[in-house]
Amino acid sequence: MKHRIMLVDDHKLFRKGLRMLVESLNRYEVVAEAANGREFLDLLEHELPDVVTLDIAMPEMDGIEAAGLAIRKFPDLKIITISTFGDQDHLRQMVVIGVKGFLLKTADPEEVNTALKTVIAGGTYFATGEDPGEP
Amino acid sequence: MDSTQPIPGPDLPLINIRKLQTFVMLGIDDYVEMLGDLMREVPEQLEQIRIAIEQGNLEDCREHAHSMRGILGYFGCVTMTRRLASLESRTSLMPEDAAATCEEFQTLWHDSLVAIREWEKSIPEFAGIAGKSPLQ
Repeated sequence: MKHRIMLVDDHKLFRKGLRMLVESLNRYEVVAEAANGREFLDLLEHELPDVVTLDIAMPEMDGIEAAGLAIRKFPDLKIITISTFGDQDHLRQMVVIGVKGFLLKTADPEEVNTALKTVIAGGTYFATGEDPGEP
Repeated sequence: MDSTQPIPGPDLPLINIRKLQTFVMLGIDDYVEMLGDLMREVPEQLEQIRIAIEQGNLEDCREHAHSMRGILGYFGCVTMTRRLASLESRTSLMPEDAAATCEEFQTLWHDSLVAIREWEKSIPEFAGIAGKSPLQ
């Protein structure tokens, strides 16, 4: 059975790319997408995925506030923050809130797969170091 | 696109080839669809940045630069990503620089597309891409 993933990012193009990438790994199914924190919280009322990938900078409600509210309501919810290089400044805050992972948007498919597998298995995955988008 | 434009040399890594290889895995149809989306979106975002600079609206400028940086980084457009990071970190804007800044980004975007087109030609899996890719 495939693991169920929810994608939350205000950038439609990025959601599309991530959906293609995640589904190409054959172990995961994207069950829902949201464009901001508020939509994400609404979706959670109807669909509890195995993992959520959550952007930080979004209109209406950002990822930090949304993650806090979501984890308060669903303490077992597994969230991986996927954001742009430089957003690691917010990482400490997200860890305190209870997110289980952090990835850069430039992460390659292998790293995305590793992060999803690790977090689904109950672990944590926090990408550090240089931007893999750099050559 | 003007095919007479020079292809950037290794001293100017406009694109990250390793990152673009991801799209070979996704398949040509998905790649073509995403590239088409990107080619529609970048000029729109650049226009928003130009307006924000003209208006001296630092917050809007940062927001659009950040958003664009994320998606261009995902596509491996390294030089544009770096320049956008620099724009995003500015603490003030000079409205009179709006046109020149956007022209610089438009040139970089054009050159990045030339580099992507050359990459497409080098990928055997994309041999049938002619007539499909927005760049061919």
